[in-house]
Amino acid sequence: MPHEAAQPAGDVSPATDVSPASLRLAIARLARPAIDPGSLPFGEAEVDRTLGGGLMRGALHEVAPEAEGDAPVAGGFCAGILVRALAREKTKPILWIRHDLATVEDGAPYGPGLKALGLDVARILFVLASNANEVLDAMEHALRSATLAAVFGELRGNAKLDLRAPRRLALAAGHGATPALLLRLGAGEQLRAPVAAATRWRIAARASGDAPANGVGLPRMKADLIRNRRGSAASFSLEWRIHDRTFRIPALRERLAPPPVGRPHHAPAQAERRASA
Amino acid sequence: MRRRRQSGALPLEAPLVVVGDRKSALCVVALDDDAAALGLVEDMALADARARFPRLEVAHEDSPADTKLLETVAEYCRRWTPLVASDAPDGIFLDITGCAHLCGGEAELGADLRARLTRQGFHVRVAIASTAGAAWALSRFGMEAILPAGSERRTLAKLPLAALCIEDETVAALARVGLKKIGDLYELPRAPLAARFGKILLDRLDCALGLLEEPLSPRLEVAPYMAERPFAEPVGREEDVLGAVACLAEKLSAMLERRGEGARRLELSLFRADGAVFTVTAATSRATHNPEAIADLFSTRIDVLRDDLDPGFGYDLVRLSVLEADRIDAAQSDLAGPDNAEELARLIDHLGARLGPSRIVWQEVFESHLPERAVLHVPVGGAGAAAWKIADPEAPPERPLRLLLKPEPVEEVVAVVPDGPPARFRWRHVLHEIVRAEGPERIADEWWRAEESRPTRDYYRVEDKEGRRFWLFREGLFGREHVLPRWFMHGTFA
Repeated sequence: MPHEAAQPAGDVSPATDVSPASLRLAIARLARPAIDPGSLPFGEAEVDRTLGGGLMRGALHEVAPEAEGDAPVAGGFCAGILVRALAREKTKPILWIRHDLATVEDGAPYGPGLKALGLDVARILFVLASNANEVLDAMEHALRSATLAAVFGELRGNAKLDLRAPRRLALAAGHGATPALLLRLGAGEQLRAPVAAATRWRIAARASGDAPANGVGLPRMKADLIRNRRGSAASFSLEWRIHDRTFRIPALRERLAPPPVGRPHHAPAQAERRASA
Repeated sequence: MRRRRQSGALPLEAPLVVVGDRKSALCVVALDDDAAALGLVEDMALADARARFPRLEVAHEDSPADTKLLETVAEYCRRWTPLVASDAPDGIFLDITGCAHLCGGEAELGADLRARLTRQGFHVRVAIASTAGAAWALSRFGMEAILPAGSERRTLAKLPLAALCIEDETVAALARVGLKKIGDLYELPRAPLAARFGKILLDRLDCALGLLEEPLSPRLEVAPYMAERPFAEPVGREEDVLGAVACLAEKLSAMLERRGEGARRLELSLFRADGAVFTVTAATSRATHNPEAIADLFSTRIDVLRDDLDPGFGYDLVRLSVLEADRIDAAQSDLAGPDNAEELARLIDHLGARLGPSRIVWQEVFESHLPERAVLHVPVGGAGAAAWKIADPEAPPERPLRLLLKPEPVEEVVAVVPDGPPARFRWRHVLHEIVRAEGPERIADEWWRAEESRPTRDYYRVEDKEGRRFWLFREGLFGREHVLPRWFMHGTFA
């Protein structure tokens, strides 16, 4: 049973008691937000601490790529969160609301690829929406039902959203305990508009982790937390660990290019391609 | 029932005739009362009619439009009985067995039908009889009447043979031997009659007299469950309609529950006071008899269709019918688990009603070599997802997160070795410098699909300087399938 006892940091009211001790306590609380056990943790202590335990359930979280080319990795970030949301629930499925425009521009979510990231395709229900309003509308309805592990909507385009729509979405999310994730692709300037989201993320691709023979490794990304209702903004370098289904901050050692020694035996043949690495 | 073409668009000062091609001449196929009063008759050539009355208003017949109109009227007639069969070109059969008492009796039903259709500008002839054949004969050749059961033989005896709905040639042949009225056939030996004029003549006679069963082919299957609500005063407000739907859903729910069934496909018919009928259908992903779920479904559908539903002066009858029912299984085996299934189904139905049922899909993953064939989108209600084997569940993904709808050509590809991975390429106007690459993974065409042969593809997973990961392939083998292989982008990795 998730209990909602954790105090949000903003609830400290200095007007009632202004003794130095209580102020110190208040500052300590502000500096280190309380951990809410009901939230959806990333599995990486540093991120979860900043978020006060993880992503708030029953709230809207907005994700956007930093540049147009980062759209896939932003999708990967969302996929990771969905994997973690599914793991918390035994049977509930995810509702993934696809925007037709995103399917045309970015391609369709690909089952084998989702599976490779650890996402159980059999537990994803796809809804195909032809415009932004349908996406938001479907999300809103889905959030009002308590039968889903998470609701994920993707929106493409910089059409100006009706200001009330995201607000209604946030209200619907607050109605239950379903985490709501909104991926906004190609939104451009529209992302500056205030939105009633609990967190807002900006994701950029980063060189992947170690893999033999200069291959492509586990997905890595830079995740900027630019809005955080339960704490301060932050920036993380994250790697999606497929085997333990968690995000991890890769160790510094791994961020450097691997030294060209101790290569597997078949690597020399490809040595010339490594020149640029 | 008899119907005359009427068109408000035509000026009505002059007598109106409708003409059509008959025996390679333009003949009058229908005429209005004024034209009839002038002594014009059907089947007369237009030239003759014109010669007698040059001031004729002439319209050309439009059979498809007539058929459509007849269908619309037939649809409207479903307000009296669910068993309606249209009898082209100008008739409609209503099987009112067991329905007449709802209108207060056969006479009242007939009067109601006549009043409503006449008000809409149709010329109606109503006859009610125990057999379809007798009703047909009476409405066309006799007087409009309600024929008491058992009196067919006596009444039909006076009608001409054409009233048996037989071919004109047969009628003419019978006339040549002096048989003009139906009654003339009663006393004749049957075998020679059948031998000379065909068995069909006797069959028609027996059908009309009720000696032979004549099946009607109703326009629509009869709904297994149905509830309706007439309004003395037409209602137009959406809230009222939805309220009525909620009421009807309750009624249906009780009926369904008694039989242990649930609705899979439902139809809501809104009968507008002026005769238009709107039907709204909705399907459920799972048999249900929950009245709220049913009402919710239609409120969503009506919300979506609001622009198409023009209440005009209001609806005077609302009918909710279950077109398809299914047994409700006590045990639901589904991914959502027993407690969740009902509500999840409701959500799916709601979204399906809003966006269209085909827009809610599962992804099925197959073992197929060709990446495009490895997934299939199945509408909800289809089979569950099959398995795609992941070689090593801990390794970096071998398949992209998103697959482009069509492989997109990649330009300016520079590869260090001709059959190696690209070192640089341009895709969607952006130049990517590749730092890591893995491959090739050779995917040949599924040779058992003979319809078209595709070149072999060598897939590479690559990562550029910014850390963006792509899945692209080179089409064709060097020197064998293509002189110069082309490169295509097929997907993007997280």
